Amino acid sequence: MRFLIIALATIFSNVHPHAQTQKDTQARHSRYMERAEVRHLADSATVTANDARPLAQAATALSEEFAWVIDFEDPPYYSKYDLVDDTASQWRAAHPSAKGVTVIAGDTFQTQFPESPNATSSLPGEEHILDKVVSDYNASTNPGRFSVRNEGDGRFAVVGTNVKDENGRDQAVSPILDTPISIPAETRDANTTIETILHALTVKTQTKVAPFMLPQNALAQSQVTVGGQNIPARVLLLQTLSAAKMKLYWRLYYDRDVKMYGFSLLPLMKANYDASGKRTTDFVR
Amino acid sequence: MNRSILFLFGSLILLLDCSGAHGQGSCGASFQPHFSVYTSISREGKHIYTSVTTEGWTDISGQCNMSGATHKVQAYNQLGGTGGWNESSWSCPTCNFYLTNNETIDGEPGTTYPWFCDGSSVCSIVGTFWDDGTSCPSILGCVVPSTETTAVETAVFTTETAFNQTIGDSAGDSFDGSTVTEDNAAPGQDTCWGTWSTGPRFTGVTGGSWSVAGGQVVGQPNHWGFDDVGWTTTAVDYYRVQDPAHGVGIPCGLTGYQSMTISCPSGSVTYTPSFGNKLTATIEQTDVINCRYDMNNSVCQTISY
Repeated sequence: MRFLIIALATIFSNVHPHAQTQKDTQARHSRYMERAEVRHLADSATVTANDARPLAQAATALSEEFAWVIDFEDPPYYSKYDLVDDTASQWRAAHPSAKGVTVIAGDTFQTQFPESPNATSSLPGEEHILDKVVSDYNASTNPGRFSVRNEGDGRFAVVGTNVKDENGRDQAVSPILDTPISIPAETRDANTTIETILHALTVKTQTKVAPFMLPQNALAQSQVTVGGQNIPARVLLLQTLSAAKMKLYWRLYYDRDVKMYGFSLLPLMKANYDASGKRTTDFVR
Repeated sequence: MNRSILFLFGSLILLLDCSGAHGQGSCGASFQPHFSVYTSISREGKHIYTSVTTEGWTDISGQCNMSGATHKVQAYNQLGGTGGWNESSWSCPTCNFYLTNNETIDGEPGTTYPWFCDGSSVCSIVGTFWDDGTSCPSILGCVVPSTETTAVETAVFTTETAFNQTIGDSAGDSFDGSTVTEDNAAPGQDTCWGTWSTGPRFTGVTGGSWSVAGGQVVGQPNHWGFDDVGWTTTAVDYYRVQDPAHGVGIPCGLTGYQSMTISCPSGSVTYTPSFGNKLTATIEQTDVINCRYDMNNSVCQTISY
């Protein structure tokens, strides 16, 4: 009898964590929102997000609501405090000894900021709102800490500055796009220029930074002369994008499982609502 | 006094009214006109076609001898100063009428052509008793393609396909120098993406624009391009490994619905169907397949990768 109890306890102790993980995964996925929601109140607005990267989702919603150019950069998350298991059960069963895969442990995030036409249509107003949003995020339990950078030319970046270490303590990190790199000053199409910048950044940091999703059609038609010695990658990217034929913003997402940053460029969109509240988006050209 | 005036006025309406929604003739019958005016514009190259149709009937109730009364309908279509009223033959008052008035002009790029349209119904006894009052928009004299076909130019960036398009019309117009621009006819779909992904979800085409017979297709009349479709090698490598572990199956892919507009002097005109061109890029285990389903054909390229 004692043997049976011990055996059952052993079985449950082995099975339970996986089952619990699967339940947690499913529950987390069910809470994710398709996109963050912006609600306009009398003299303020709220943004509600739920995603693995809730701040990025909120930034995209603000970008589309007000046609703001907002770049976003993950910090290099690596600890169990910032990442949770996201391995599919079927795949786990087929690969019982494999490490599995993770997802950033983001969840619900809500922020509120004062809203007025002046606040949303001026650059100081935009910066003030972004500061408030990021401050609210940093006060939440979501992964990472961020800061707002004014990149000039009407664009801002939300940049990851802190992660949790393996002991759950805040650890400052240097944004990878601040890394100085050197590339030849040549005239190239914008697409080739971006690939050249990211390749130099990869070599310099020994962390893969690769183009993930790029608007090839817009970039291939833009010729740009960019280059120099020991110039932050961010500056070179901004110089390249200033020559593009359309307004683009970037998303730099880190995946710890493959130890890689994916660099993506997206066209700036503006949300429009009809009388019934139906939402559509148009390019901001 | 006031009541007497009102009664007299009401009696006159009942006896003589042929101008409104009820009442006709001296017998006290009432009727309801059920007419509508439909308009349409189509174009091919420089040709602009407009159509105005008046259709409907009159519902007459009550006891009345309508013999001697006849009706007809009219349709007004004046495009750039050309055209005017068309009218049906006289027929019985309760007959169903269907009259179409077509006009065609050759538009010149840069010119705006006023378009006036209207429809009315006429009674042989009392004259016009229904008028639609329709207003129609002015029309740009702009050359718009009626066909677009796609060909594979080459593979680019290892896993993407450069497509080369030819636009045209039956008039053989030249579109060289015009600008064509893509937009989203419908939201895009991405079956590879998960919230864990190191890239954003594909939600639609990116709004590229091309000069006809310029850029990468310079020297090719009525061509535009290249339209690059496909995933980056980074995305292909990433999703092949990460999707299964996250519970997403391979093959997976993206689908975009691309509407195309061509530049006109005071705006752009969409020349693709409302559902747009369909663009797909599929990641399989050992190759990628990029397709462009155009107005007049479809073509795919399979790239071993």
